[in-house]
Amino acid sequence: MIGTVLALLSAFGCGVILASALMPESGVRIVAGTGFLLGLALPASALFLLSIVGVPWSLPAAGIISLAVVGMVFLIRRRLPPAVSQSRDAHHSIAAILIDLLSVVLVLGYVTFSTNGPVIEYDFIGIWGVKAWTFFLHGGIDWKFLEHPWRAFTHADYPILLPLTFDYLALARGAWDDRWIGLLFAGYGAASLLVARGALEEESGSQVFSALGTFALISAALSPYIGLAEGPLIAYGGVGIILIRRAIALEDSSGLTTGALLLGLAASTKNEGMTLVVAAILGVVAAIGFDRRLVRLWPAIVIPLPWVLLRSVHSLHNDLATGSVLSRIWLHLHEPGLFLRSITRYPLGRPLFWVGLLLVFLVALPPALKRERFALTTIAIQYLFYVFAYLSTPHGVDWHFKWSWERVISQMTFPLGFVVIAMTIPFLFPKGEAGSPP
Amino acid sequence: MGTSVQFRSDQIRSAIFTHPKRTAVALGLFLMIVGSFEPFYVRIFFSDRDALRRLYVELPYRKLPGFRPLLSRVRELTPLHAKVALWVPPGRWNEGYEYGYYRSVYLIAGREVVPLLDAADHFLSSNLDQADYLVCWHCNPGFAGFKTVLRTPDGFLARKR
Repeated sequence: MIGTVLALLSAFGCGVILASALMPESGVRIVAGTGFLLGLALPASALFLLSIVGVPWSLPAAGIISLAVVGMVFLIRRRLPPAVSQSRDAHHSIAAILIDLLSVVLVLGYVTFSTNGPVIEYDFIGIWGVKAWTFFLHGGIDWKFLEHPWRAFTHADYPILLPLTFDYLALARGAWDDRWIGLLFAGYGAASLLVARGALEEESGSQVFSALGTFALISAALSPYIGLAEGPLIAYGGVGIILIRRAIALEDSSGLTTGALLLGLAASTKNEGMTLVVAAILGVVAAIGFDRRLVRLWPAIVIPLPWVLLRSVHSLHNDLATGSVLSRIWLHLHEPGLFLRSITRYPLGRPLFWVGLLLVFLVALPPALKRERFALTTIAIQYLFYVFAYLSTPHGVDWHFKWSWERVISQMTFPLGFVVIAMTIPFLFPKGEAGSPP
Repeated sequence: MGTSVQFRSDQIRSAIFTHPKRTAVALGLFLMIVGSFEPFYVRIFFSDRDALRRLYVELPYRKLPGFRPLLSRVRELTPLHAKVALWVPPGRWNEGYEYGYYRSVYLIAGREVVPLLDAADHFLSSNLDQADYLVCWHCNPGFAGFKTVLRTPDGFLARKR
């Protein structure tokens, strides 16, 4: 456990330096949350780089590369003029502190649950964990393992940021141990909640509101699928959307780049992260048009590119792309009953949460349409990608829904919940009243 | 007291009718907050976590009792990169073989698990020829050319002679 905690803290330290250099105008919560996510991606990306150049993995090598990146960004940032902080001095309230404490108790409950024993999810054993453990023993990415037809069940084409993050923890500990991986997932959730807390406070000016809004997002941010890519995808994708939405509202071009950096990491986590990049680019176009600020989104495309190229070089194929995709879509479109039955048969989780979300959405949508154009377009297009995936499935439609629907839908619940909570701000804090949004 | 309660309910009624959208949005937010609460994250502090841990250890392998302890011993007794053939009776892909094969690759990571069956239930004898070891869950199939290394109630491990 100590090795895992130290590894997470070191990554957090590096990430905070990086995030404060990239977002000097942001409040401490946004910097801390974003810093944790960026910090974890650093050593994992270093391991990826070491594998590409053929250097065997070691903790010092990964550490030196990570520190070099942090130092470089820090030095570049120091040469730029200081930024003005966007965080507002919100009124400290006992109520907000109590609500935050309740949130902390729930996060600690999640930590207890997620670290109580080894990871139990099959997708960890059969996909994410098996790759990480194999790479760890191999001392690098084992391409022969991924290419072998007997290992097709491990979905060799899936992006590998998560297995490499597991490997960073294993290198820090000196051995493989799947029990304390739960701490990593608690970190992903807590980081997302910190960013949401900071962004809601910045926007509403109310500590109590932002504490309540964050409390409402706890279940969406803390993925129950320990060991699976949903946890980091929710964090990278969700925080990426929050930061880009914020950058558009504040007309902060550099904020777009930081958000795009996180979306690039989401794309390096899971194939749905790649579709999220496409959705987010279209979302930004919907919000600002074909503006030259679009170029600021370059990290979202550049970061996942090496893996896309490498998996093509190593002929790692996606199961959804096998055979005739169009004919399957055509076939499934002719069975709308089966499709709709599957959607209604398998739950989305947390009915009361969804009822509340729908109520706010319906009431608050008309005045929020312009302001939330980016986030709502992005999330809507991402949902369309999900529908496309289910329509093109080579497996049975019902089988595919049964084993993934609730999990896949959970990927967007955190950013959607955040946006819907932000949509309540103009109603609860009308302009001119204390705490009204900027 | 009665007047105060009456006064407050009048205030709420007035607020609802004066700002119906604001009230609906506040109600929606309230439902999101209540609906998001996960009682398990509180209950976990008071539950028998040792029992839960024991459950977690075996849960992913519950359909093949004893499979995890057997493969843990195989892990101790085989070197890295060894080719380990796996046999799970009754020798049908959809009746336990797929389940055991996929999980064995994780349990003995670093070794190459060699399947002896394909998805159409064909026995892959050429794969057995490649194997350095043979592990068999709850059986002793008596393949020729292998010497027993480990025998437990959960199965056995044999090394190629």
